[in-house]
Amino acid sequence: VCNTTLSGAMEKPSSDKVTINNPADITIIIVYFIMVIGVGVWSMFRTNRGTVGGYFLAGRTMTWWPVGASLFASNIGSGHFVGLAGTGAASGIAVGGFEWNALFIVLLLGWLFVPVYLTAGVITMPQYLKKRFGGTRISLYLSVISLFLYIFTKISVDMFSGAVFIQQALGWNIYVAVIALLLITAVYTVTGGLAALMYTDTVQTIVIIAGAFVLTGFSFAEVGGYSTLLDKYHSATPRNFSSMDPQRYNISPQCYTPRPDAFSLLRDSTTGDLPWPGVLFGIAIVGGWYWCTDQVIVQRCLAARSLTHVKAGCIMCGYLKLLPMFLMVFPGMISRVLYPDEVGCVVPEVCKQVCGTEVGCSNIAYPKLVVSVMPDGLRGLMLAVMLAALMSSLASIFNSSSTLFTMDIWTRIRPQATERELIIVGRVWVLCIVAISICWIPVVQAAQSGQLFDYIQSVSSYLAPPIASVFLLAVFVKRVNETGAFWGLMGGLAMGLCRMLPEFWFGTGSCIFPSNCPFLVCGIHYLHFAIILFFCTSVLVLLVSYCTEPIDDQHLHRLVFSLRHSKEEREDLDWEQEEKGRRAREEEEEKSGIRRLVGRLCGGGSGSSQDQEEAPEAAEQMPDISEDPVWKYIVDANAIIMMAVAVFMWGYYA
Amino acid sequence: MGKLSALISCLLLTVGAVMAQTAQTQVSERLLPQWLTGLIAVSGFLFLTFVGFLVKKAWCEESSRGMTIVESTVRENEFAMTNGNTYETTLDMVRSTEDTNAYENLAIDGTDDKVTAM
Repeated sequence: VCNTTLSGAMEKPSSDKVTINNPADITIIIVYFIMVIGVGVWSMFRTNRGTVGGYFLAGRTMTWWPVGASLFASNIGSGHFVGLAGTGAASGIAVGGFEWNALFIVLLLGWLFVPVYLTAGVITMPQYLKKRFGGTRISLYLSVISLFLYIFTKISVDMFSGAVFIQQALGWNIYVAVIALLLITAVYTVTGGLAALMYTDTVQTIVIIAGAFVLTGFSFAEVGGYSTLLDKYHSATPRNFSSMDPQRYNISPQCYTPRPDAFSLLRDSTTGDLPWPGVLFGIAIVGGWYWCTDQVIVQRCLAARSLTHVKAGCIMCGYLKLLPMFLMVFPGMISRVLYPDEVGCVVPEVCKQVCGTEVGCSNIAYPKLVVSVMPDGLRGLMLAVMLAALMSSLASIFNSSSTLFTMDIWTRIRPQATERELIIVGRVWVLCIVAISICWIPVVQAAQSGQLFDYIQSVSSYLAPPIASVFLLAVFVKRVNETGAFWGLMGGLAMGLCRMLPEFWFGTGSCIFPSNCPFLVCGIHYLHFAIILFFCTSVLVLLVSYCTEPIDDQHLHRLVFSLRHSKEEREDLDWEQEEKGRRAREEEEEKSGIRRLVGRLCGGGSGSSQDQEEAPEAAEQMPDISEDPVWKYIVDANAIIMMAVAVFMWGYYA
Repeated sequence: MGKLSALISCLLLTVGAVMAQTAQTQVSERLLPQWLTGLIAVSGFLFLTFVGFLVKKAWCEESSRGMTIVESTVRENEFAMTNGNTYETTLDMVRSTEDTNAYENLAIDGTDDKVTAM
């Protein structure tokens, strides 16, 4: 999860931007694109993309390393580079807590949630809720709010950060650059499906880590080492810090001096900008939504060959998540030490000159390093890194949102849709969402007041905890039923909106111009609010569930954690819908042959009768979550080692 | 289950480590060197994992002991029904129910037939 307070930085790039126009840089970029497209094309021939399972779940054949790499690459986007470095420059290492918290959450995903999702035999998360609770309103709500959150948080963050980097470091025309990127991403997403994505994500991960390591090495060399950073950071103040217009505003020293607790992960619960209960528990809750209940991440785990591969992939992703603190947060702080007048600017007029926004210029921390510290040739590598991060995240979001739309919304509109039609709709939706993303660019440019990232992190913290709570209770508490879950979600949404809308209305303000949001609404830190919202929703869900009738066990086999190994026949609560859909599909087949001809033209692939056979066959074979005991012990031991490493890092920097 | 409780406990431990530092918010002094805090946290975590492991083992043993108690009561009942001696075969045991003068050939009536494959 990348939730960061950032100031927007767009337009009018600083004067020392460097265009990539030397042969070394250009060669590297071309080589990178050839590699990615090559891997995408190769993976297209490896899996059968003609079926829903093959297209959306890569045929369930993935081994642990593409799973782990894809989890990491889908998560790390250009927003992480710009956002983590920028917030690190502004307020120190606590923002790395977002990354290191995920180390534990990703293990929860592999050990607790994925076994249940696998035995349930679902492709999307709303589908799981539909099977678990019955009825359609919960899954419809979840699909809609997930699509909303994708567009407003993930896509906008990544596009904005990519735009910042392109503007700052390259000076390219923003529309040309972004459209070209999106089209390349769309090409291999649309044609290859999840398999192509996961294999290209492996390439992207290698590029991201290699490039970021190189930059970190150069940055530390430039600043003089780790201990020099520790010393110099506290004195990295800009030269201009007096107000240019004392009648309008005054600048207090705390607005431009680095925080004294900058090298602490766990900060004071009342005066800290990221209080420690929020960092430990609030981020865990939002992380629980992101890693354990969100389609993008869970889909990659469902594509794995077996449960052991899922667990190993989660461990690999965990180890990789140790790196962003060192590869992005520390370079951001180095950037502030090296360029305090630009990255750490505080006077609004000066900031506007530097990066085009009055609020602050911490966002340019990472691009500035790339421009200033990296030699020729390696700048092309860093561009490839940013492109890798941007394309991998966007491609994953495109694919997962298309899965959600196809399997949950389209099948409700047209229950008689055949498999081939679903795959075509999935591909068309990707193109639609690319168009939406392109339309976001002017919105992003207009948000020059720098409030965009504040809004994005509010949206996550105020809307995600109810979903996390409902999923957690759905998996672990059999007594929870449909009424309880629905009213819990509605209550949580109402509470979240009560906080979110007034905060948008008043604005979050900045250090020099604080917002006049009343204490009752904005006084509680957003992470603490996430904790409160989570508990309130849980209480509401449990209360309403215990007052209404329970769901029988026969509907819950292999849908809850306690029954995940049961082999008994399950009466699906959504069997009526499935029957209707199957009957509608059969009627459709009996109709005109003309439609079949047209279908063959558009879709290609085997005849529809084979597709029909595939659907009931897939439904009858129950996914297997048994594990080879030897591998189980190895994987469990590795998980404990990883947790020990994570605990050591937390303890070291606490 | 053990892992979940270990996780929660390790988080509580980190909380404890923090409480020791919340007194000094203005100055970033530390009571202990950083690597030592890290090591203490790790040893605490490993200890809790070990405890969790033992608890899980005790739990499983209890449930399997519950199962063996049930099995042994069933065997005891069988014992009682055959007058305490399972090896002594009395004529009554093989007396046929259909004809009091005939005796059952238990071998033929056995359910697991050994048939050689053709």
